[in-house]
Order: sequence, then C-alpha cells, then structure tokens
Amino acid sequence: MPAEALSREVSTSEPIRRSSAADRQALGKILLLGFSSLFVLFLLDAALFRTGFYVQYLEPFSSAGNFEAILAAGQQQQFTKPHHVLVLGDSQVSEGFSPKIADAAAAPSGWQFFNAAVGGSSMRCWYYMVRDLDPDRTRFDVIVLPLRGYADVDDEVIRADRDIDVHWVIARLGLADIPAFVLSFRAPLERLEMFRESLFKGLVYRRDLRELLRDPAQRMQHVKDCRAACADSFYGYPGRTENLKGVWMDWTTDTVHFPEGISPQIQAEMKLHVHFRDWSVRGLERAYRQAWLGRIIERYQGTRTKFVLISLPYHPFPIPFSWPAGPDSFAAQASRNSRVTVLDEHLFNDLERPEFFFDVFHMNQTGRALFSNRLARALTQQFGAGRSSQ
Amino acid sequence: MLFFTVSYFVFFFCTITCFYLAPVKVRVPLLLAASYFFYMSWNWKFAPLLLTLTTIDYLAAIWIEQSHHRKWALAVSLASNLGFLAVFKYYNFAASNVAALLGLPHQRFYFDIVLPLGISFHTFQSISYVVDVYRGQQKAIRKPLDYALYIAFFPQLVAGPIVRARDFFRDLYDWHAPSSEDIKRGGFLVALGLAKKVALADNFALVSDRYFGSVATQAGGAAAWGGVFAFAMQIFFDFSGYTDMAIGFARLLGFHFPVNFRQPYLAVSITDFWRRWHISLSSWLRDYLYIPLGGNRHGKLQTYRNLMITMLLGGLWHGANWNFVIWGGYHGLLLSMERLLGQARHRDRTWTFFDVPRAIVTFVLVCVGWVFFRASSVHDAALVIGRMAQIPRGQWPIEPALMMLTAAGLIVALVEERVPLLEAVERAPGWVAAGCLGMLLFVVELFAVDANIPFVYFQF
Repeated sequence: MPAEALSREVSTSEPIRRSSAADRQALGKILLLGFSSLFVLFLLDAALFRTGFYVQYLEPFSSAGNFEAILAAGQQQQFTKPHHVLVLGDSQVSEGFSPKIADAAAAPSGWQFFNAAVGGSSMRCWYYMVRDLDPDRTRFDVIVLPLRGYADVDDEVIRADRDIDVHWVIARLGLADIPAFVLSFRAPLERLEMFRESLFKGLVYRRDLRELLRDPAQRMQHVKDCRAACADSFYGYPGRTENLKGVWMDWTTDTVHFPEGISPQIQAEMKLHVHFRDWSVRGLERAYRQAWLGRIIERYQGTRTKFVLISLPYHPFPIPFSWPAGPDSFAAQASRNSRVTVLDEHLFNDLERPEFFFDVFHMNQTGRALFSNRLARALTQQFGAGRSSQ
Repeated sequence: MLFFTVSYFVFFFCTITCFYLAPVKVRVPLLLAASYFFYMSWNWKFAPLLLTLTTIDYLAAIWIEQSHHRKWALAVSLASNLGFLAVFKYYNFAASNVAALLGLPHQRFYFDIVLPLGISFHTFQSISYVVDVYRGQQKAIRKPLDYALYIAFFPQLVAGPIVRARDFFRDLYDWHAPSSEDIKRGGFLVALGLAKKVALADNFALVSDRYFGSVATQAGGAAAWGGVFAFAMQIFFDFSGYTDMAIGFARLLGFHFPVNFRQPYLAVSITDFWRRWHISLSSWLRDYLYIPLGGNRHGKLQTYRNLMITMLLGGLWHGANWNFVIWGGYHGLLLSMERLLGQARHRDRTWTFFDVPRAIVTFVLVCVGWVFFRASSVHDAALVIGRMAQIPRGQWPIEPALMMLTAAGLIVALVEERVPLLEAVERAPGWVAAGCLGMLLFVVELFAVDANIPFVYFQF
C-alpha cells in the first residue's frame, strides 16, 4: 500500500473516477496473474501425476490402483497360444470369469484368455483399458463385451452420468482425451467438475496421496508385494466358495426369502436390488452403450479383431420380466457389423441360480467354473481353431 | 457462496470483469448490487434487515452532523444496532437464563430466530461509523449508495475484517486502479487464504470435530491436547484464511483493508496476542468500548474493571453462550494479571529465539481458552481441561503430513516476523508471483478436504 495514499484527506467528491484505460490494464494484469498461476499449478500437477511417477505408488486396492494393476498385468502378459481373447467387464466378470479355466477348456483350439475386468468399472472405463492394453490394435483376435441383456434397459443408475468413473481411468487420461471424456457427461456442472478433475489430476489422487503420506514406507512395501503377486493372483483366483442356496424370490410380492446363515449384509443388498418392475427402456442406456462400446468397436475398424457380445448371468434368479431388444437396440445394430458376433441372449440363463452366486450380483466358484467353461467353448465353437478372418 | 467454492470464484470473476469494464458512474451501484446478490445467495430474507440498519445509520449520521440533537441521533442509531443484535443474537440466550432462574424449562420463552449472517460484523462497522461522525472524526456520507456499499461490500460483509469508514471512503473517493504490486499482493493473499482454509483449517477441523463431538468417550491427555491443538490451528487458519481472502479480493478491486492477523501464535504475552489476533475487532473494542469506559486513565482497579468488561463483552460478541462469556472473562483476567505483573508493555523489539519459552507459555494459555470457545458446554470444557492436566498418554491424533504443513507454516511465520514476505511478493517479478500462487494452489489441490466446511466465524 503506498504510504501517501493513507494520508490523503477524505473528501466527498465523485467516487471512482479514474480513466478506464488504466482500469482495463489492471483487469488484464489480474487475469494474467490468475491464468499464469493456474498454468503453474498445471505444470506442478503434471510433473507429479502425468509423468507416471505417482502411478507406480498408487494403493493397489484403490479404484485407479486396481485398474492400473490389471492393465499392467495385461501389458506384460506373454501369450503362448496363437489366438488371444480379451474379456472386459466389471466385478461380475472379474468374479465370474476365470481365464485359467477358459484356457484349459480352449487349449486344444489354441485360444488363450486375458480377463481385464475391473471391479466397479463401467463401459467408459473399458474403452481406456482396451486402448492402453492394445495401442497397436494387434494383440487380440477377439474381444468379449459383456452386457446385462440385449435390451438397453435403463435402471435407477444413469451410467452416462457416473462421474466416479474418473477414479478408475484417471491415470489413463491424457490432455487429448479431456474433451471427449468431459463431453460424455450430460450435465454442465458435471462436465465442469470432470474438466477440473481430468485437467488437475491431483484433485482425484489427493486422497490416495494423503494415505501414502501417512506411512510412505509401508505403502512402498505393500505396492511391491502386490506387484509380485498380482499377475498370478489374477490368473489363479479360484472364486468365492459361499453360495445362496436356499434363497428364493417371491416374484408376486418382490420379496426375497433367506434361509439361516445368509449374512445380514448380503440380505440387505439383495433386498435393495429387487425393483426390476421400475426398469424401462428410455434410450439412455442405448446411447451410453453406443458411445463407449461403439467406440471400442470403431477403434478396431480395419483390423483382424472381432467382437463378441454376451449377455451375462446377472442375478441369482432369472428375472421374470422381459424388455424387448428392438431392432434399434445396441446389440441389434452391432450385429449388423460383420466383425461383431452376438451370442444367444439365453446362453447362460441356466446359471442364474442361487447356488452359483455368492451375493446378489456375483457368481461363486462353481458358477465361475461353469461360466468360464461355457464361454470358452462358445468362442471356440464360433471361431474354430483357426485365426479369425482377416 | 463460500469464498473457497467454484461458484464464488465464478461470481468474483464476473463481478471484477464487469467492474473494470463498466462506465465509471455505474461502478458503485454495480458493486452494491453484487454485494447484495452475494448476501442474498445465503438467505434473501436477511437483506431487508441489512437495508433497514443501513438506512437508519445513514440518516442518523446526517442527523448528527446537521442537528443540535446529536445525542438523540446517536442514541437512536446505537439503540437500533444493538437492539437488532440483541433480539437476533441474544434473545434466546437471555430467555433460557430467565427460564432457568424461574425454574422453568429452558426453552419456555424461546423463539425460532435465525441469526442473520454477518450481523455482528456489520453492526460493529455501522456503530464505528456513527460514533466517528459523532466525534467529528468522520464526515457523514451524503450518497446513500456509497454508504450502503460501505456496509454491504461483499469481501468483508459476513465475517469482517471490521473496516473503519475512513479507510473505506479514503479508497472509494480516491480510487486508483490497483498497481501491479497491489495485484500481486491481492492475488497472493487470496491464494494464501485459500490454502489456509481448505488445506489446513479443514483438515484440523476433522480432528477437532471428532474430539469435541464426543469428549466423554475420548479419554487421555494426548487426545485432549491433540483435539485442542487441532482447534487452535483450525480457528487460526480458518479465520485468518478468510480475512486474507477478504483483504485480497478487496485489493483486487482497488480497496485496502487493514491487516487482521499478525502471527498471533508467536505472541509472547496475552496482551501481545490481542495485538496480533483479530486486530480489527480488538482495536474496535479498544476504541469504542475500553477507552470510552475510561481505559487505563483512572487507576489500576478501574483499568482491570475496564479490561474485564471489555473482554467479557468481547466474548459475548462471539456468541450467546456462557462458554464465550467464560472465554472472554478468562482473557480479561489474564490481561489484568499481566498488567499487575508489569508484563503488558508494548514490545517494540523484533521477536527472537529467546522469546520461545514465553511464546510457548502464551500459546498454552491461549489453548486453554480455546477449550471454552469450542466445547459444547461448560461441563465438557471442564472435562477437557481436566484431561489436559494429565500426563499425555495415548496416540497423537493428528496426521504427520498435517503436522509437517503446520511446521512449514510456523517457519513461514517466524520468517515473516523478521522479513515482510508480502512485500517481497509485491516486489517480485510477475512470474515469481505467479509461481508462488501456483504453488499455494497446488497445496490447496492436494490437501483440500472433500467437504464444504463453512468458516468458523460465519456463526458469529
């Protein structure tokens, strides 16, 4: 503050009467300072989070850490068989599909599987997984895209607006990805938030960073241990042994009945997810599937890679309501593409039984074995022992 | 619209852009409109109250200047301001005490009254203006919009600093576009305040809220000291962060607000602490309460009495609660004891490392006071102080990263005590200033809590 300004006498002359050229200059300087400090922030943020330095110390069991661990396992995967299948998905696939069992089932035909499913991930995340697993678009003969039925049913979650996706894919988002990623959300405020978080990655990583700072040595050791064990544990994971045998659903009242021994947590979760009557086809899910699965398929245009759409065993009980998968559904439209095969929607229906699930969405060890076997056989049957057509 | 939210920054960006691009004549109405918009974004129902008080004090000041019934005009203004404050802030407190005295349920005479945001601050600001006009130290402002802007100016409306009329109107009537130095200082203060609030205060708030939210269940001296230390840090970083931002935003608009905090936890006595803590309030209490009561001009006993009255009322200003009264009384007592022991002389020498023991003792005494400030009841406060007297055992509840940031803050404060860092930022080339701002924003980015925790002083 200039000293002479303080000693000026108070007058009641006209307030604020300076020339506007100086004012505009001041505004320019304020904006310049603001934007240049944001640029410095961006540089600092980029130095820590865009160089790959921080990603190596991510908590392996966090959303981004798990995504990165599976991606790294996939990037390091040495395929020994001639034909390679990539299976994408969320926790339903990571629990329900065993590449080890599928490899054994398809070994005579020369097929080998990699399970890139990440718990909690969505189709938006799968795109970035595929892109960075296979940057040259040459690694996979077949990519399996799992769906919850072929009708594009909208439930209570609008997947296009799922802003937590950024926590899975944050390490994958380059500057060039920001526009498409941000615009894939619908609401302006959500877009603004996603823009902030994908530009300044520290906003997403900060909780992990603070965990790391609590005990850096322990985190380093934990990461090292997980890295050593992770590829084997992904491949050899046998699945959960619990089952829901004895659980039954009264569809007239939408009530689940439990026998003794089912944990209160699983009971609560199951009771939460019985409102199938509220589901409808509103077009949002179709647009979302088209946006992200369509983008994955589009990416392999002109390559040898083929796509297989499957309808997952979704629930411990077959849902007795059906929604029409019309000719404009994503699956119907995708099937017109010669590189896309849509497997029979009911292929896995008989696996929707309580004894094959350990909770409301996830198959157990038995279900996992049956599903993996059947998927492997279906693929070898579809594509045979030879390479898919060029 | 909290200062640290995206919506506030959008609001500020729009306001400052319109302000500098608008024709000169519409700038006061524009700032006033922005200020009322800001205020009404909290609750539009508060605006008529603010407008009413503004009108009364505006007319009262002119009346004081023009009429022979100056005392009446002053009395009307003071009665209005203090009357509104009493009704909105202290009615339920008084009602519950009366009910208790009569043996009735304490909510017997309650009214459902919502405390208007910032009423304690803008009331004190209005009083200072009217009293200054009465004393002939300030001319009555003739333009109603100018006066309304002084009361409602958005950077300081809801939680201060309490700006004197002469400072505000000096800037308004002799306004200059901010210099490069002003812009660098203003921008730096905004970023510094943001970092103090969201990276430090909010993290400490998590610890102190956890402790004070369930005092009875958290035994042990370490937990008590940790909880109290966390609150001491929370309230300092929260409030000084807010005022740094307020001062910074005002400076970017060409207004110079006085400093409100000057490394208070380096104080070497309670007297020194009040010269460094919430300076705009302590100087207001000195000029409009302590000195009119007689100050130290009528002997020692009168001085102690005046100190006690000033600090008790200062405590009560913070909130209608016996805890705040005790907190004020505790500080009044410490100030009186320091006078008695001859420790209250003004220090004109620079802080040195020989001051460390006294600074630690002062900090501990301040922390004991904060227990009353933060605890939800006198009983809880007594419980916490009892635990603080025990040998500290158990786990220290504050994360190492937060302690490291605090240690860094302490080092900066120690340096600031000898080298005025803000002036160094002012003099630095633009790219250095941008670098400093960027680093502060990086701290904000990494350490902000994922929750909107309001400023502590908004409740006053």
